[in-house]
Amino acid sequence: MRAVSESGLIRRVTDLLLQRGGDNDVLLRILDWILAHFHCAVGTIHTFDPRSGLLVLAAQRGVPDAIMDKVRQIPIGKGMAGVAAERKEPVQVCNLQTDRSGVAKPGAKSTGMEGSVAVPMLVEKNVLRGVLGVAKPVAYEFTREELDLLLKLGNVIGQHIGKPTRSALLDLYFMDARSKLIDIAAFMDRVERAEGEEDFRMHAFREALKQLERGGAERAKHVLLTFSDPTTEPIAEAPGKSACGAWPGREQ
Amino acid sequence: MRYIEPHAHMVSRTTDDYAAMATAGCQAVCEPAFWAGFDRSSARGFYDYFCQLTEHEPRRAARYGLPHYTWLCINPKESEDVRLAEEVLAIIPEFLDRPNVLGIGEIGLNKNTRNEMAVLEKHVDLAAKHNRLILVHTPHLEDKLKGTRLILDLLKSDSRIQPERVIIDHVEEHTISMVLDAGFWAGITLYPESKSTPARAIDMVEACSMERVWLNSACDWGHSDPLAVPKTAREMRRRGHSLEAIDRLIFQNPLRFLSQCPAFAIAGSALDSAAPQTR
Repeated sequence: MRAVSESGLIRRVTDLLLQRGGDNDVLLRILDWILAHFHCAVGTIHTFDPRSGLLVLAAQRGVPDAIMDKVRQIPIGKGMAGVAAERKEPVQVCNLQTDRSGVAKPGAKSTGMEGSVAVPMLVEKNVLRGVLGVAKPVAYEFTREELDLLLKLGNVIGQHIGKPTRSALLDLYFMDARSKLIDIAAFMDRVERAEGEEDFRMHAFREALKQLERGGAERAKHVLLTFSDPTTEPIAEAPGKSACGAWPGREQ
Repeated sequence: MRYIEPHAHMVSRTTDDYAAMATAGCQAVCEPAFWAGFDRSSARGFYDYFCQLTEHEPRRAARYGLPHYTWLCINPKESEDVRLAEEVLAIIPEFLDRPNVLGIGEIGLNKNTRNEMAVLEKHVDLAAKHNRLILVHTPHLEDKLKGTRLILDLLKSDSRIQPERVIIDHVEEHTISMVLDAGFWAGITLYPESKSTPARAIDMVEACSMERVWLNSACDWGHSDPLAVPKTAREMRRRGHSLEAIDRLIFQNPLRFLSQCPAFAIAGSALDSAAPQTR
């Protein structure tokens, strides 16, 4: 029973993710739609945690309690989901109960399922966001068209879980950052062409520029710290009301 | 999209700004007392200002369907004159029970002087005695780091102060963690030049937390944008945040903090009520 067309299913999934983001309850609802579409009884969505290198269970239907602990976290390369993540391509088993390929973990048999497939959720072709798995209670080989649809669904879901990729952020912010960088260069040229001496603000500015070469994704914080008054005691009297952007005390 | 503007100096803005904010989905505007751009010559000037904040400005906002709330204090920029500050502090209690008053703010520091610290302490004492919410201004630019540390130390040393009833505003990348780690709320101010841009504000929320954070425009008589909050919401959408997450940050979070004051109420705004279903 396929209640909606393939394009209708993708649109429905996309709309829900745009509306509500990739929270686990949303993923569960999407999983239900996918299971209904493919006449499957068991399904899982694992998200990839780049820090631990593990696939982490985000939503499931029909997984027996007895094997729940085994599917909560899956290392890359282990089991169907882990292999699909490693190869970045679908991995299917026509009959889990009789499979001797070794790709399915022993626990997979406990689901009672036979025809099963795990597809990587990829964005920008190669960035892994997780793995989508579905299985039927009968022996079955998923067709190329069905695998393509699962990959498309994985791509749609993958775009709404995890942080934006570097490429996506570059698309969003590169031109703006480039423009600001040229503004800074032009500002420094302008100051250099002018007569007179630089003051503590320009010296602090140059110090702050060095922070751009730092790693650790805390450049903004360290630039701000460079400009900041590091002392801890209140001063006796206000020198005026306004701030100038750099602490003059470093050179006093 | 719906949002609350929790920090805007509307006495400095035109009615066009009220109209634009209401059109953009603003559900309420909150106005802390602040520096007028010049020093007032006496406490009488503050009396008139508090009347403006509690009588005139709510009427002006109401013409655009916007509930208007306010915070009262003598701001840090005028706190160097302790005698004037004491006179102003003395008249604040008679305004505290007016229907749109949320608490004491925006108090804090400007140049981190001893006098500013003394006046800040008196404000905190006033808020504690009257069990009021507190809105804290942190200093600008090079003075922010030191000022934020001094403010946190002062607040933490007063056992009457509950951190969840205090918002520390104008945090940036070098101060947000110390504020949140101490249990206070953090306000991110969206300014075209100083303070934070929309992109940086979202960076901070993504890197730290969305739990006890609000966004505000702090629009005033200077270079500022009364629509900075909805513009940041648009930026969040560009970056893939869901409508629910945006609603939580720009509507439910300020609602959650401000609802600790019984005076604060917006029609049909129960916490966790459904986010708008439009895209």
